[in-house]
Amino acid sequence: MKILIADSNTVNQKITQHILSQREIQSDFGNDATELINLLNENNYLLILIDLNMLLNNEESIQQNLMTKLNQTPLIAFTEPSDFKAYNLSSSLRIDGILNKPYEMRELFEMIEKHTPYNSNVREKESQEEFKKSLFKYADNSAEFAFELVDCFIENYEGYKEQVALALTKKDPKSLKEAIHKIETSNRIFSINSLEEVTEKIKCLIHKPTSEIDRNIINQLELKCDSIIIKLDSVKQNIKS
Amino acid sequence: MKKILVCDDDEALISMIRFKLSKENYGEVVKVADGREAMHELIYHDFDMIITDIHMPYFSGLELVTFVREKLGDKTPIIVLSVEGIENTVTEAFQLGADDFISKPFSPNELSMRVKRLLSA
Repeated sequence: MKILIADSNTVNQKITQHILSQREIQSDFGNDATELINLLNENNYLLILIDLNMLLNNEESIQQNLMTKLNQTPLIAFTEPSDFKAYNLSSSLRIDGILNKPYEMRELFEMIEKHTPYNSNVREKESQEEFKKSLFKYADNSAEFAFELVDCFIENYEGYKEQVALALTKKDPKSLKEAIHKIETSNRIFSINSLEEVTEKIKCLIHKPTSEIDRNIINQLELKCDSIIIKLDSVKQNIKS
Repeated sequence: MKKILVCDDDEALISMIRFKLSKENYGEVVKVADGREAMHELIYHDFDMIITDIHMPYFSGLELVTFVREKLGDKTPIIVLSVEGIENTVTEAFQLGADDFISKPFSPNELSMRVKRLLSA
């Protein structure tokens, strides 16, 4: 499974590529329309994710060439929510879905699942089964209560991202320590180890001046939390069905 | 019917405690999210048990234990919830008058056993 992402922001590229690779989705990146056309000539993609402005800010001939190359491949555009001009212009193009920037990984995966045959692979399903088992144990083996609890955990992981970012901004070691304790406690419920490395890195950030804080580390935490939220959401759908 | 005060700001944990204690017919669970709310509840209402997190906004779990034992002169059983790695704080909680502690995360069954033991003591 391979998708093409057209985003000139290199930080976004790296983050997106990393999270996609965790779900065993290969991705190529194009920085401009010419690169996209070259990549489309050489590869087959199951989905194209493109910055709407990259699609619109080209000569008409390039735009037409690009749209021809895209053919019937599902096309998802991402744009600033306030960019109504781009949004209106996009109505004349064949676009299958719009994501508002900054988009969350959960939204991206929803688009991928909606427009491609991609679905949770076996490994992911196994992992979801582990999550489900842990959740049921915590919910005293009540499916009804487990369903109710998932939302609490999703809310918790959403909150952890904000609590950590706020504690770092305010330079508040006590709040940071508490936020990390909370993350570690929730992680133990689901036997999650993937956050250990990033939480250790975050602990070291608290004494650094704000200007020296590596935003990528906070992004890593956000992505890992998002990845857990996606799994919890899948477990919720699974319980519901 | 027994009344149990639960002080924690983790909605998932509070829901689990409430679910398990109701299921086992231990009594009514009253939840509060911080130490200040807990103190307010304790001034105006009687409880048969207090389950409190150590880290809470406004007043910590330790301050709450001190408040119950010293200011209110109350012997209501108190279970302190803690995370791993703060053994000193847990020891301090016992010195201040806490009756038991549970390390987070804990299973519903572990909670049930601890509550049963203290309520029947």
